[in-house]
Amino acid sequence: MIRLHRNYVRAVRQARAAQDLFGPLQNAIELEHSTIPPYFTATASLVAGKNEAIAGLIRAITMQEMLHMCIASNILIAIGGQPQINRPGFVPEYPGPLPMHIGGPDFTVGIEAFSRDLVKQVFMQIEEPEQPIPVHEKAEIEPEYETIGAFYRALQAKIVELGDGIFEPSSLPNQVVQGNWFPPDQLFAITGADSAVRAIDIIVLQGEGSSSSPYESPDVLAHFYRFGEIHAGRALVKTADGYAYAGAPIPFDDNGVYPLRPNCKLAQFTPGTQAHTRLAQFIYSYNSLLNALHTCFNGQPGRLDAAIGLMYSLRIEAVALVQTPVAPGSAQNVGPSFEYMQT
Amino acid sequence: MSYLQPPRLAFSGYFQADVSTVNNDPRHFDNISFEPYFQDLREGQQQNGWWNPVGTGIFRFRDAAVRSVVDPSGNLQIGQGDPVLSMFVGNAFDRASAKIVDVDPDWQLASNLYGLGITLVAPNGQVVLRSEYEANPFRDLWFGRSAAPGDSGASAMFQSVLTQLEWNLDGINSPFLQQLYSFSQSGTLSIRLTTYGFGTKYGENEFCYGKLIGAIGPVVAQEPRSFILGRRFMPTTRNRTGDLASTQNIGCFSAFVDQNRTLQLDLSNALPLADKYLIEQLGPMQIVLLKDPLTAQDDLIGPEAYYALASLDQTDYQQWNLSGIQSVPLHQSIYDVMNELPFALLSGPNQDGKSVVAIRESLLGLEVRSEDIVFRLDPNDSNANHADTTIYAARYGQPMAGQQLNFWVAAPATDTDNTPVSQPPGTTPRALLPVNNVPAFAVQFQPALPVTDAAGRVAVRLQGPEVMDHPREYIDGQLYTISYNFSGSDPALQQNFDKLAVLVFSTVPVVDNPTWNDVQPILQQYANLYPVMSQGLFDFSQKDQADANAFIMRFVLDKGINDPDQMPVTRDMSSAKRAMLIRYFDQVLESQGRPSSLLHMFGKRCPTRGGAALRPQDDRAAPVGTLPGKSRGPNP
Repeated sequence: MIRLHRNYVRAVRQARAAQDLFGPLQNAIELEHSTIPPYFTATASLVAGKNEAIAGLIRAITMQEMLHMCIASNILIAIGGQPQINRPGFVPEYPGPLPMHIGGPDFTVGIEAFSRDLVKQVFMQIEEPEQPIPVHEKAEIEPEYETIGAFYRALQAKIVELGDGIFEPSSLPNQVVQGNWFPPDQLFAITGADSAVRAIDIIVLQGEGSSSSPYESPDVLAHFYRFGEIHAGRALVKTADGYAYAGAPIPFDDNGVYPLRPNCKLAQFTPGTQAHTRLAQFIYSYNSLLNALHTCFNGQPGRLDAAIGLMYSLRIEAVALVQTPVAPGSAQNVGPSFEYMQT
Repeated sequence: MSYLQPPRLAFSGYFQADVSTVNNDPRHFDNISFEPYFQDLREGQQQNGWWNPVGTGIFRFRDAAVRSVVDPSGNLQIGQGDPVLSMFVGNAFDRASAKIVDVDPDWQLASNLYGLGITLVAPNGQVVLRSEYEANPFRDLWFGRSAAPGDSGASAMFQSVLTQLEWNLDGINSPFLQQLYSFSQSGTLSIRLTTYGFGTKYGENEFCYGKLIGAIGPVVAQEPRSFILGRRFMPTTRNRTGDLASTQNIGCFSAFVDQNRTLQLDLSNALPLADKYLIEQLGPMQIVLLKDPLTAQDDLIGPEAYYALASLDQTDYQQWNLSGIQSVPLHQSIYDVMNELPFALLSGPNQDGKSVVAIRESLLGLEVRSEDIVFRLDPNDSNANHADTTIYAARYGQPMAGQQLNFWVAAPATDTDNTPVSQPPGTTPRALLPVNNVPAFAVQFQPALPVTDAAGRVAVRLQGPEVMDHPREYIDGQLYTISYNFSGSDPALQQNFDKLAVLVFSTVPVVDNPTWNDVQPILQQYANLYPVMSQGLFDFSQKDQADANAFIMRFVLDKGINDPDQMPVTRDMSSAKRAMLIRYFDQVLESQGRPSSLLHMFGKRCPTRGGAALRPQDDRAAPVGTLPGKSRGPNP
C-alpha cells in the first residue's frame, strides 16, 4: 500500500484559500516527476531488440506520468500558482525517499537497471492502489500515514469546497494544453472545480485503476497492473473469480539488460573519461529539460515542443551512455543520473 | 569589424561532435545493397559503419570559459580583473543540443552547425548573454595539422554571427561587457570557433570531443560575416595529407589591420600541433613586412629584405588564452607602405642572419572569397531553387573594384575518399559509386560573369535547374563543386576546399495521397543511416511503428532547418519529399482519429535494425549498373 505522511493530507484539508494549496500541488508535481527517472532508467537499460514488450509497457507508463505532471501543473497555474521545476530540491535524491515520503519511512527508490525484482519491490509499490484487484490481503496502514489516493481525494474535496472562485481566468493562456501531445480528453484547460476534479480523476485512475476494475479505460490497464504483468511475465486476464496474470506471455530475456551500476553520480567518475563526459552530457540535457519545462509552465506554454524534443533527445543520449563501461574493462556500465545542476 | 578586432573576448574549452558515421560512406545510402553490419562499429580493416555508427549529430561546448579580453583601445586583460574573466561560455540550456551536419555525403568538407545557442554565464548562474549562432559551416579545414591520423589530425574554423542577443547585465560590473554591449547595438556579434584535436577512437577518453578555441567581437554590416576579408596568408606548398601548408606545416590564415593600426593575426587554425595537440615549437620566428612583393615562400632572405615587426608567439598559452590571436602594433612607417607589400612569417634568423620565408600573403595580396560556400537548391520549390550570396575581392586587404569573376564546375568525379575497401573480401559495400557534377550546366550563375562594385563586392545568384533527375540514383539529387576566382590571368590562391558546394535535389512528382510504398524508401534510408534512432526510439521504416508514431514523425519533419529537433538530422531532404512525408503522416493521423494509444507513442521502439526494404526483385529497384553516370567502385 502506497502511503504518505498524514501531514500532507492534513495540510490539504486545512486549506482556507487557494494559496494554501500551492504547496500541496507543488508536491504533487514533484511526486509525478519523481517516478519518471527510475522508470526511464529501467527502459534505457533494456538492450534494443530485446525485451521490447516490457520496454513498451514501461515507456507508456512514463508518458502518463508526464501527463500527470502536466495536469498537476495546470491546476496549480489555474489557481494562481507557479510551478517550480528547475530549482534545487525539485529532483529527489536517488536513492532515497520519494516526495511526501511516499511509500513510508523505509521506502527507498534508486536509479537502477531493469529487473523483475525492481518492478515488484519498487515500481508496484509506487503505483499500488488502495484496494488492489485481484484482492490481496489488505495491508495495515500506520495511523500517521494516508494513501496517495487519499491525498488526491482530499485535494479534490478541498477544491470543490473552495469553489470556482479560486480559479483565475487570466491563467488560461498560461496553461499547457496545446501541441496535441496528449488526448484532449486527458489534458484540458482547468477552468473551475469541475475540470480540476476530472483531471485529478485521470491521475488516480491511470495510476491505480478503480476500486472495481484494474482498467483505467476499456482496453488499458492501470499502471499497477501493467507492472504486475511484467513481474508475473504474463498478461492480465479476466477469470471466473476475478483476474489473473495468466494471459499471453510477456517474456523477459535477462541477457537483454545492460549491467548498469546503480545510482551513478557524476562525482564518482574522473573528468575526461568517457563515462564522465557522457554522464555529464546526459545530466546537462536533463537539466535543460527541467529548464524548458519550467519556462513552459511559467508563461511560455509553447516551449512544450522544446521539452518534448529534449525528452526524445534524452532517450537517444541514453543509448550510448548505457553502453559505456564505468571504467575501461569494467563489467558494469554507466547508468543515467538525475542530478540537479544549474545550467 | 569582426571578432578579430577589439573589443574582443577570447574563450576556450572543449567541444563535442557526436557525428554519425554510417552516412560517411555514400554507398550506405543504397537501400538495396545495405547490410545490417553497416550499422556496426569498425573492426580492424572491416569498415562496417565506421568509427561512430550510433552518433547522434549532437554538437555542443564543454567546459568552455572566458580566458582574456581586449578593450577597444587594444589593452589586454587576462586571468583576473574584469568580472567577465570568471564567466563560462555555454550552450542553450532549455532545448535539444545543436546538430553538426554535412551538406552531402559527397562533400564532407564544410560541416555546418544548426540550432547552436551560445551563452555567457556568470559564476553565480546568471545568464549574462543569450545568443544564436547563425548557421554557417566551417572553413579552412585541413587534415594534417597534427600527426594524428584521420579526423584527429584535422583542424578547421567556423566564423559567423551571433543573433537574437539577450543581455542581462544587471549587477554585473564589467567594463568590458558594457563595451561589447555598446558595440552590439546592431543586434549581432561576430564569432569564430576553431576546432581540433578531435577524438575518434571508440572507448578512449575524449571520444567525440576536441579542443575549442573561440573569439567574439563586434560586427559591421558591410563586412563578410563568414570570413575575414583582410590579409590572407597562403602557403604555396602541400603537406603529407595534401593540405596547402608551408614547409614547416603552417596552414593558411587571415589577419587584419584594425582601427588602432594593429595587425591582428588569427593563428588559431594555422600553427602545426605537436603531442597532445599543443602548439608545436618551430624555433625562432618573426612577423615581418616584406619589402619586395615578389619574395617567395621558402626564399632565404637577409634583414635588408623585410621590416621586422615582432617575434611570433608559438606558445599554447597564446592559443588557449588569447584564442590564438597575436596583436602587433604597426609603426606609422609600416602603416604607410603596407597596402602594397605582403606580410610574412619568417623562420630564423640563422647564424648568418638569414631567414626563410615560412609563409606570406598570397601573391599580389589577392583574395576572393564567397560569403556562402554551401547551397541547397530545390527544383521542387521555385522559392528554394535559387540562392543569393556575395563575393568579395581584395588586394592586401583593400577592396578591388571592377574585377570580373568566373565560375568553373568540377569535372565528373567519384568520392573515392569516403569509399574505402573493407577486409575481409566481400564486406565492402556493393553499391556503385555515385558520380558528382553531372549532368553539366545544372547550376547557373546570375550574372554569369559578375563584376565587383566600388566596394569590391558583387551579389551573385545561383539558379537551380527546372528539373533534376536522379544522377546518383540512390542518393537524392546531385552534388556540384564549383570553383570561383578572378576571370583574368591573376587568380587568387585559395584554400583547397574554398569552393561552392551545391546540392541540387531531385525532382519528385507530386503525390496527392501518398501511400506507405511512396514514403517507405525514404524512411528506410534514414533508418539505415541512423541506427541510434531505432535503438533509442523506434524504427520508422516499419509501417506499424511509423504509423503509431505519426504524430511525432510529423512534428520533427515539419521543423525549420535551424531547429535542433528537425528530422532528418542531415537536412538533406527536398521540400517535395518532406511535404510528401508530412502529407502521409497527416493522412495517418486523420485515419486514426485521436487514437487512444497516442500516449503510447513515446513507448514505441523497434527491435529491427537496418536491413534492406527494397529487394532487387522489387520493380522500384532499377538495375543500377545500366544507369548512366554510374561508376564501379574501387572494389567491385
